Amino acid sequence: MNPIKGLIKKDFRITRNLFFTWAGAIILAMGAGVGLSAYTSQPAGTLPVIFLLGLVHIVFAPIMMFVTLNQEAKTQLWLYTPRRAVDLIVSKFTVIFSYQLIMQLLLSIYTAFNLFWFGRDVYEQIGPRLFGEAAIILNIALIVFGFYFTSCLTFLWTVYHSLKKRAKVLRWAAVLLLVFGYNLLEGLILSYDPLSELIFKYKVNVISNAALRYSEEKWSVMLEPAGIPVIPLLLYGLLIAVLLGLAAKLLDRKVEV
Amino acid sequence: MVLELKNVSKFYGKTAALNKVSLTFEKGKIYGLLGPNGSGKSTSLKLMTGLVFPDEGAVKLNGTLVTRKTSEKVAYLTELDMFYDVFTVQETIDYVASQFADFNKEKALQLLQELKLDPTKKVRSLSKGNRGRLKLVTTLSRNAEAILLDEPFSGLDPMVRDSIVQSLLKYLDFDHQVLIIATHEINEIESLLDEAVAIQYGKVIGQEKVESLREERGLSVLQWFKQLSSKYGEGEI
Repeated sequence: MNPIKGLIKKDFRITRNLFFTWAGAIILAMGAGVGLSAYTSQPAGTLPVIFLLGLVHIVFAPIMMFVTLNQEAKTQLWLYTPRRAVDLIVSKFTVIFSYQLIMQLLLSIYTAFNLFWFGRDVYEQIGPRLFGEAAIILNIALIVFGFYFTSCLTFLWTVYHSLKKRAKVLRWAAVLLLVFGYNLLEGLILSYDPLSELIFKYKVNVISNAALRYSEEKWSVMLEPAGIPVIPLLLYGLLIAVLLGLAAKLLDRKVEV
Repeated sequence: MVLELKNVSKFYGKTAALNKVSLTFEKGKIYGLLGPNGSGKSTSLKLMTGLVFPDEGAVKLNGTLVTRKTSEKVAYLTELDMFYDVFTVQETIDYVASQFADFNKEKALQLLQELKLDPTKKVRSLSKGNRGRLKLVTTLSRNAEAILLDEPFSGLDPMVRDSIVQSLLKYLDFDHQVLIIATHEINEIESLLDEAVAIQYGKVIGQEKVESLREERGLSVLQWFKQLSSKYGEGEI
């Protein structure tokens, strides 16, 4: 078996149960959303469920990564390999990315089901093409944010473990310093108006705002177009690559078993 | 093939796990790295595998500095558990085989049969003894230049220990390989050893050829180690 395939297969096997548990809970939540909305005769009740599940999937990838990294940290024999650290990380990203895609596909189908069938009388109708475009852009944004947080977590995890010889309090201090330092820097950049304007200048309009409206004892869903800035998505994509590169360097040269 | 530690020091906090240690290991020999718990044996093996890095000095394999990549040429058996619980025995072997180009699957199958391990069994359901056997299968099935075993007998019953010793002799290729066993259970490996290295408090306190110890000084390795131990401190074996 090819070494990369071997790594990916291993990562699938060690995370499979967690993924099935997660998927089971999400499907249950979707079913409960439809069930309760049908029971109360308020089909718009599925909108908060869609929102909540969308938000939950921003943290799905970081949670999966955290669990699997801690599994490996038990012995760290994960690092006893001739493979480059970047291969070890990319293998985990590949597995988590495929899980994320499955979950987002499920969520998109659930949204389409509510928009075009279950809640067709209360959801403001948009055409399948507009829905498709919005779904693609929102799914890309969800993946970019999910993976941005995952790469932050992976980088901070390697920082923490590369300071193994230091006291725990110092290791945590280093991690917190990096988090606060980065947020401060980001805040400073965004407070500089010309730069901030440039970053948010180019937007793609999609249906991403949805609001509930109550009239005549019935909840309905209004859909509104909103602009998603493109440059931040690209910047986050770049940051993902930089953070993963740094994490791989630390794993190769600093993290000890 | 030569594995060298040149003036190596390794600190954990202010404690020196190894203090200016220089050692050389050559192919075709079985070395015993002997010392009480916490003497620096495991750290030495991890340094040779590239799992930890020296604070001072250099660790080299065939003249090249040891890095993570060195694991390609060094088969390492850790004292700790080294498996994924969700795997079966066969999946574990397939995984290790996928990562190391020198892994010999035929050898692994032979070892599985000899050590009576069921390939379909889940790792999580294996007894401690069988986990120890599986560790040995995955390590000895590699045609690596150096085989490093860290406490291979830890927690195992005498029957398992005996089967491990037999496998070591049967499956090693002494023309191309060097075997280094770190243990505090000296009696178990005494009959195997060509050379014994005594470590205490992170320092090498003695190195002898086992044959000359027996023939010239009339000492067993354990007696020799106890003499050194009382001379250099009260470390219990």
